[in-house]
Amino acid sequence: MASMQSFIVGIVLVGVTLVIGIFISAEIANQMDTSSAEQNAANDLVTALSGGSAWITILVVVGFATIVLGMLTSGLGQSSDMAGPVY
Amino acid sequence: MAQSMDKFIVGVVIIGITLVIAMFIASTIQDATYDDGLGTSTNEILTTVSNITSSSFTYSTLTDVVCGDVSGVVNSTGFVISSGNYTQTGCTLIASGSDFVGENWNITYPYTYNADSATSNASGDLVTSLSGGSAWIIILIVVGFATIVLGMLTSGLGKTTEQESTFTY
Repeated sequence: MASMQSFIVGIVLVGVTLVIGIFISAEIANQMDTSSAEQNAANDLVTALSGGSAWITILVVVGFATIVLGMLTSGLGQSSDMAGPVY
Repeated sequence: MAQSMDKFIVGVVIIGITLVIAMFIASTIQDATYDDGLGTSTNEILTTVSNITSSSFTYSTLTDVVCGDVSGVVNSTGFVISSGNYTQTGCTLIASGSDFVGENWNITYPYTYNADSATSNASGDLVTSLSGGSAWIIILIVVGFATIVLGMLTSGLGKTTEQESTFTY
């Protein structure tokens, strides 16, 4: 259960950090001379970080799938342990 | 058993609330990071203007669009339509009399809107991504409760078997 919560908090932190990072990079790019190397680099960073948001969907799906499979296997494993001796 | 149930329910609720708060934060960031967009639609054609149903402007679907007053309103033959013949509400227009109804009108208006930026797009993506998590919570709840119920059943049955097997008759 603790792993579930830390997984969600982790995803949220990653997402919000990405978005804030993109915002900061975009603001820096706006302050640079047009088409200068610095502005291009800042814009490249914005584009690169933007790709991360799309990956979060996969992270969420894989994360939840892992949690559900983990619950199933541990629950079923526990059930078979509790079944007691065979007579 | 009750302890694991408590932990499970509290965990699921915390996950759900965290997801929703995160979506709210991302959505707020999205709203705050739109770029300012503006433009003018010149001689836009509104087809078959009615006095019953409003006609929507082409740019009425832009994000948070605000349309200015229409001007240069003419019908298809170029006859000027005065402001008394129509009522504009936001980015829609409806004929207020019976004149010029059913005709195509040409209108010109300025508009402002919130244009997408890299940050707002990324924030929107984050909201969409996290929304997927809410759907998983149903599966989590079903599997979690099923595990708890199966655990209760198997532990109860296991105990009964142990008690019964103690005595051999």
